[in-house]
Amino acid sequence: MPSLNNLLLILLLPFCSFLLLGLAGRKRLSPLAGILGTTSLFISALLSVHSAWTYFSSTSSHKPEVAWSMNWLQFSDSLSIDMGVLVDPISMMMLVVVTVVSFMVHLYSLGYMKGDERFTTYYAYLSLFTFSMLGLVVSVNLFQIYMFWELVGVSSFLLIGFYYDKPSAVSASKKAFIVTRFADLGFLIGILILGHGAETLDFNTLIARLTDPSSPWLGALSAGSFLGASALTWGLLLVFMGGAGKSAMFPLHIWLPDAMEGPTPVSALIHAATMVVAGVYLVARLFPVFAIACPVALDVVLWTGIISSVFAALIACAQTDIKRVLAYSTMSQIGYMMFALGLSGYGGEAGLGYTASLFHLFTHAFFKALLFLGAGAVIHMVHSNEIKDMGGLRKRMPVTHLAFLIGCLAIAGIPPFAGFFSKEEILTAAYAANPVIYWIALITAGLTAFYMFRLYYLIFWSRESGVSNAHPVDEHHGEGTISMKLPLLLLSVGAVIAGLVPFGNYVSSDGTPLHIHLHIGDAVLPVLIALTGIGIATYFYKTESSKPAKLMQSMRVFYMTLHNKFYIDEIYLFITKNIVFPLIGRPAAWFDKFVIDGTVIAIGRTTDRIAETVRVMQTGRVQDYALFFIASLITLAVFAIYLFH
Amino acid sequence: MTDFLHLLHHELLLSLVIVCMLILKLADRGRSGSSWSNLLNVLLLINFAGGLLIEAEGSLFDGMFRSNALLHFEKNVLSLGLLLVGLLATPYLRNHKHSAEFHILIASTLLGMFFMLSAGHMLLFYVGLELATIPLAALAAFNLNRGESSEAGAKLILSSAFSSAFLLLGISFVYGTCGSLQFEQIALTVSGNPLQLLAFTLVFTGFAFKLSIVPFHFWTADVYQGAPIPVAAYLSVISKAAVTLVFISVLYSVFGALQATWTPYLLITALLTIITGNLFAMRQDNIKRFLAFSSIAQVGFILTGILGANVDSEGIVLYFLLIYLFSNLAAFGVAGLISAATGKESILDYRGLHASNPRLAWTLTIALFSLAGVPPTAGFFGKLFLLTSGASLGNYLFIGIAALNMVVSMYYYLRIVKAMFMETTAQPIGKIPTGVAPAIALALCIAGILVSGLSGSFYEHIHLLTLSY
Amino acid sequence: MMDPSLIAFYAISAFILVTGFMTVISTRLFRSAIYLLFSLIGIAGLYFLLEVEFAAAVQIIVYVGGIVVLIIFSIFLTNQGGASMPFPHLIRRNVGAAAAMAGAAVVGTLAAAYEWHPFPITFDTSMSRIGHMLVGTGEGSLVLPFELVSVLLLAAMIGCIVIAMKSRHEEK
Repeated sequence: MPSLNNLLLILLLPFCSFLLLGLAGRKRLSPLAGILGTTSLFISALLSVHSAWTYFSSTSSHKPEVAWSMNWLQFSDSLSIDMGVLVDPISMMMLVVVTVVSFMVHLYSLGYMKGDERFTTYYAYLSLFTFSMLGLVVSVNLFQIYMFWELVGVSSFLLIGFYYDKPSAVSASKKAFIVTRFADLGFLIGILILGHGAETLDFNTLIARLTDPSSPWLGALSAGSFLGASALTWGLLLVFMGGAGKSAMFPLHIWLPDAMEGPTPVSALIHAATMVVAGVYLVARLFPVFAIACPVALDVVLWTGIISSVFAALIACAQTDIKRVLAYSTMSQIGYMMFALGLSGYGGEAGLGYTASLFHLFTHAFFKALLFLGAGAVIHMVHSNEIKDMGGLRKRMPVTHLAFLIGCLAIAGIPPFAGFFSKEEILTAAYAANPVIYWIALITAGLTAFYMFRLYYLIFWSRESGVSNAHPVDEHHGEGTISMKLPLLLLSVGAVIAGLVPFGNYVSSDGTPLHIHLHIGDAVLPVLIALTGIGIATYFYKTESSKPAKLMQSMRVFYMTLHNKFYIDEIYLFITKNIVFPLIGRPAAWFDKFVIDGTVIAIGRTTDRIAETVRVMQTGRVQDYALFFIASLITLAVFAIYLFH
Repeated sequence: MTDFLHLLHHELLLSLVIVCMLILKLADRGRSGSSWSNLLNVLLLINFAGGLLIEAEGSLFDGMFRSNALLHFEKNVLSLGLLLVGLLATPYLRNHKHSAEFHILIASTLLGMFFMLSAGHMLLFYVGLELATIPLAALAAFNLNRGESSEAGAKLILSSAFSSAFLLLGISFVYGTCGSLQFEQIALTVSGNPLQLLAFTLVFTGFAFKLSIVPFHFWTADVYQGAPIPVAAYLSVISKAAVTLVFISVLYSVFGALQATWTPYLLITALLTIITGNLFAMRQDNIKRFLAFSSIAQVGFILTGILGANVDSEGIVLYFLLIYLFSNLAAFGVAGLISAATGKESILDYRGLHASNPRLAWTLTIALFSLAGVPPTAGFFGKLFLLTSGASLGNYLFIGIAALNMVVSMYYYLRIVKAMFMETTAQPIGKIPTGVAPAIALALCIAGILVSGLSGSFYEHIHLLTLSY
Repeated sequence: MMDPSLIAFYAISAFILVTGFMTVISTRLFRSAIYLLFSLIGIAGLYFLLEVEFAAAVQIIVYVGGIVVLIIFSIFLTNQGGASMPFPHLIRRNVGAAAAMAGAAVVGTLAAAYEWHPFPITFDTSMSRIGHMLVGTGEGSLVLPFELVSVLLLAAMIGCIVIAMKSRHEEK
């Protein structure tokens, strides 16, 4: 057991830093704000790593334990709301991920946000966000997780809308808040249903009560049906809806691409490593209930995950904004984690999907944060998010270039980078569970490699001359300060070695160590597919040339001799340029923009119209009011006496 | 005799305060508006503090007047509310030549509410209700040189006379079918025959009118818009809280046998109220109308809590009312300060408020977050408990719609926060001097929101109180 | 053979209803007030019939002698006594009539269907008993609402003064 004081310190340090920076006035602390926030996070991160080390090295079997808890609101005799700290493998793992990535982002922002007039406010928000995320991770009950869940929502709203003089940033933050609020509404109702049925909100008790087939609570929740599903299924699905909202799963993902309006380090923190994986964490937290008591709900998780995964990968191929590509790629990778959870069973070898999913969460945090921070450095240099304004930057930004390349290799699943191991585990689990899923996942992996390297080449290769004239490179910036380079280097190391952690020994669905054996043979096909994706991207995008057009010209000459090669190329060309882009990628983007966004807008318009109709009744004449009064009265009376009684 | 003093101490003290105010006014020799306010606020403070001193249980005048610890607690809450309204009204009354009358009238309505709360007899209840309504009409017309305000007063008195007529008809049917006006006797004899159902419906509409439950709410918008902001605050917070508490005891203990009738009533009207209130509030640009409509929606949530009708329900509603009192008074208070200083009442005028008045902006933000039910403010727990109480009925579809409306309301409350923090305007509101009295009131409200949200003992106290009665 | 008191009851009730209806539909304010006067006298007649002379006397003194006279004075002050009020809109009239009739139908049907039975309550309507009930503290005393009404009157008076003082102030 790690010491309780350490655990509480991990949480309290960011909170104190928030209080200090947020309340003590922005002028007085301005020069120190960054240092203060970064130092407190540094200590937090050290303590987290230390706690995790103690925890994982001391015991071999890991059952969730409540390290500390206090009664907060006694709601009724059977139901109370507690606050506490839960210690179990996934909460320890998440503590490390959140504090380490947050520390990197704090450090990086020292350079990135330098000179911003609301520098102090920025660090206050960052600290608040980190605190809420940590509180979410160590929650002991559904209610505490909901509280922090909301707090995470509020602080991310503040961070996304940080550049509030930019209308697009304000509308993006509003959109993120509202969409996730709707999802959270489901979450809240789900909590009410589960809490009402199981008569507890505490995770350990809840799981114990709902996984025991003979328990009366499970019986009561499973009996009866509402619209064709039991209360338990509804409860879990609604809880999952909350998770899907935060994790940007289809179709609740519409806020994520827009949320890229926030400062780039924020995207690295919120939209890569921490907040968006909260949904995965939530499902993992309740995993025994999903797996044992309600496989139907788990199937929903599975299909939502796989659809989001492939859908987002397709859209990512057609994006031209560097952060949007990364946003969709995040959505796709989280889809990976979700479906891995969805196809997992409980306990023993069947629980491989669970371990794989959280392993991927772990590795993904490193390489995705790395990619976002790298993208941030690029944006910092060229002052644009558009890929067309970049190109040939590899000589000007050697460190960023190397870091970004490592990130791309990791996400593409090339050995021995971190992404390879976790993705391999997911694919192994998928292969064992369902071949259809396996193939879809494999295609997604190929697409991932393709679009990531497309991005890589367009930024760092392509145009040799450098950057376009419209956006001259700001030579003063250079590659950024040491505080910006250092996180890139550290995260690169993480992206290389994170995969070597024997994750199964620590995290498994039932708490007993799971020994994972990966066969080299199984890995050949995925790696080949990833390499193919990279190869295609290299072929088309490495140098700036209208390859496709050239290809068509030279086709007549080389057709006979290099028939086979070109034939394959042409198919790829045809598929990517004529099928994937216009027929799948663009329609998917179109669907995203008009149908899903459009529905939301249409709901808004309809409410507006109803409101107008209701307003007409407010005539301002007392006679009319009296008439409405008596009419309503008679209706009520007739209703009660003749119809209802 | 001591029994008499103990049980009636709230009412006697308040009557004494009213008489003192009257004498002070008569002996007045050109006292200035603000010194008036200070003097009267001290009286209200004495009233609140004196109310806390004694607790007694029993009944007087043949069961016509009842009192116990729970009722004392409720009256203390209302006294506190009156004190807050008095403090917040200071800037409004500074230049008004009738500030003593304002306080006399508003204190008499509170006296009416006290008697309503303690009533064990329809007659006392009815007289209390009238005392709690008629002076409000004069108060609504208190902006003497504005036609809008006179219109508000006239509309309030006409509508309330109309609803009183129906209430009286209902009471006479109750008398005719039960043979008594004593609450205990009615509770024993009420059986739910059709005529009694009609009588109950009529009594129900009387309450629905006072609480602005849709579709008996039409007077609300016009009256709130015309009335001065402190009066609108009083109407939408204190008056509603008092009537809600009476409503609960009438539903649960007097007409408890008719639960099969009032459950669907509450179900339908709660839905209508929440939805209508939200739809209106969404489109309002005037902060006063906005708060008025959002408070209609809040009443819908309160009805949801009442609907549960289990052992916890009364405590839950009382807890929510307490939070609602703090939150809504803080919101009205800020709006009143701004209106008194600049005359600006449009939400669009609030753009950039954070830059010029950070304290007011933060106060309003916390109040709005609490009203919207954003955790961890107290309002969140209040709403959550209300929904849980309603959910105990098992009607999840209804709870779903109610919860959905909670999200909608989040949107429009947030709109104001956004305007204050994230938008700018060419003519921002300048620095507003808060003044001591309103600053104390706002600080009390914020402390109330935070303490009742963050500490469980508040809720536990209320919970235990309601369980024992 | 019908009970004479029953005949008197129906006759007086019909008188009250007809004059009440005329109050509502008359287009001249002054006439409305006079019809209201007759309607209130009719109610006093009902009280006499029920042998509650005190209530009847109060009805005549307060309503007939006080309130209606006050109404008539106000009408004279507005100088609109003889003028016709604008006739309400056709739709409003019809809807209003329909609502009134629906309300009457519901109340009438239910009241007619109800099996009324007398309660064993004896009414002592002597003046001294009423006096004791109003200001005494014994069983069934009504001193509390009675005193509360005095606060209500005080508050109403203050409210009226505040509103009425406006015009004098503005004239200055």
